[in-house]
Amino acid sequence: MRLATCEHVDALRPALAVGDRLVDVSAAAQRAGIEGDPRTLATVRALLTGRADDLERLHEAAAQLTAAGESVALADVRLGPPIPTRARSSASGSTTASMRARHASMSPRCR
Amino acid sequence: MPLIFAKFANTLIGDGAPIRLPAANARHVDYEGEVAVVIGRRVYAADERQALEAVAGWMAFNDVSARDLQTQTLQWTVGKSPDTFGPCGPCLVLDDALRNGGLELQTRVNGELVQHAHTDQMIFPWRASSRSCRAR
Repeated sequence: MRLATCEHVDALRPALAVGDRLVDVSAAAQRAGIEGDPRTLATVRALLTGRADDLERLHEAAAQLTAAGESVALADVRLGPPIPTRARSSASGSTTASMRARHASMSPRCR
Repeated sequence: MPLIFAKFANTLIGDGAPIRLPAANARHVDYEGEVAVVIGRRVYAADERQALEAVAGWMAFNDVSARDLQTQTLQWTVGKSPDTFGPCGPCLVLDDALRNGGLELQTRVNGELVQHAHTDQMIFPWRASSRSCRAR
């Protein structure tokens, strides 16, 4: 299962990926008959913290909509980061052996 | 022990969005294709199993760096965190691809393949890296 965030005119919207197609989460929710607080569908982060079975139902609905031709090509959409956040992100300096060798070959000023 | 550095939210952009080169450092901007592990819930002092259970998913990530800025000080934050230096996606993957045998990693710069490796070749296994980040 894959989730994406699409850029709309003035907002970011979560979407479900089916192959190389995307389905807006609100359309999938309507298809799946999922109702309730719209904030639970507003972001990828909200989807991840929601009910796991809802996510499964959304994905099944997205597959149905894609089969019915009601999806857009991933390549035709402006994508945001999958998890847009205002929070601090941190990263760990784990890398591959080939990249470490590449770093070692650089001059110290550029490493 | 993996080196841990800060890369802030201002860096995050979606797949296909342009990377803005800092005007004064454009000659030393560098790529590094990585797999980002997205932690889905708060854990503390996690062992490897607990860290694994807290993972929400994975995504492709380009850890863009301005190498000259990175090495001007003892820590790397300035070189790692200019705006747009964290392209990621296109999707957050929720399945078990990385848990079950790893992933092939390819990086292209302007269409040219510049990095080809496998997650098995990582110096620090992702489980250990996740654990070391979340244990603090």
